[in-house]
Amino acid sequence: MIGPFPTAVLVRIWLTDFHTPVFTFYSDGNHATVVGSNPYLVSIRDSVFGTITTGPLVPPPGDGNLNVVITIA
Amino acid sequence: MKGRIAALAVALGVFALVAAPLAGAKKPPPGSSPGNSGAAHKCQKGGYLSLVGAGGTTFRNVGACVSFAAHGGQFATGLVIPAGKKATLSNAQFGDALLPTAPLAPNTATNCPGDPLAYGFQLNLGANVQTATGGMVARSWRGR
Repeated sequence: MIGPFPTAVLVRIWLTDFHTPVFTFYSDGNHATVVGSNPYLVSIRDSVFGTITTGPLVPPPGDGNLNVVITIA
Repeated sequence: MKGRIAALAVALGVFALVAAPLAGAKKPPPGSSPGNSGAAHKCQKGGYLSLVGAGGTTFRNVGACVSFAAHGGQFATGLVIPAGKKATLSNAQFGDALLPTAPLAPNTATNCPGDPLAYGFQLNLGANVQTATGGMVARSWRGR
């Protein structure tokens, strides 16, 4: 459970791939998709074979290395 | 000659009437952006309760929100938890399949089995808060 807070809060989901080189990907980055309108489905791809891809690697919804539902109420 | 003098006097009078208010007009404050009135409008009618600046700026009242927008501030477009609301993370799944399709199509390569992963959340671009770890076990959660 996150919140409640007295002000609106920007929330980002992150995924860290600890395979060297360690790198963290965020839900608003080029390895992620966010679909839905509460609840939201967040899908994030990792660095793929331990290599940080410099270009976009956007997963189809629900096909990330991390998939998580965020519900705001 | 008298006619010309009279016309000149009238012209000067008109100029004085027009110029005086302009000379006294206030200049907009530095950094203000008149084109942001639409953004500032978003703050009205409780809108600020669901808005966060793109850099994580929060607003405790409508005035702070309007001021932020009027000075060119941009609002965040990502996931926002409105004031007084709560967010719940659920159904978290770590993908751990290797090359799920062949031939390899774009965006189909997934995590190498065994790569350790962790996930969590971050509030207002602050510190990362870890929620769970996974990805260590070479198995698919997709039921294949």
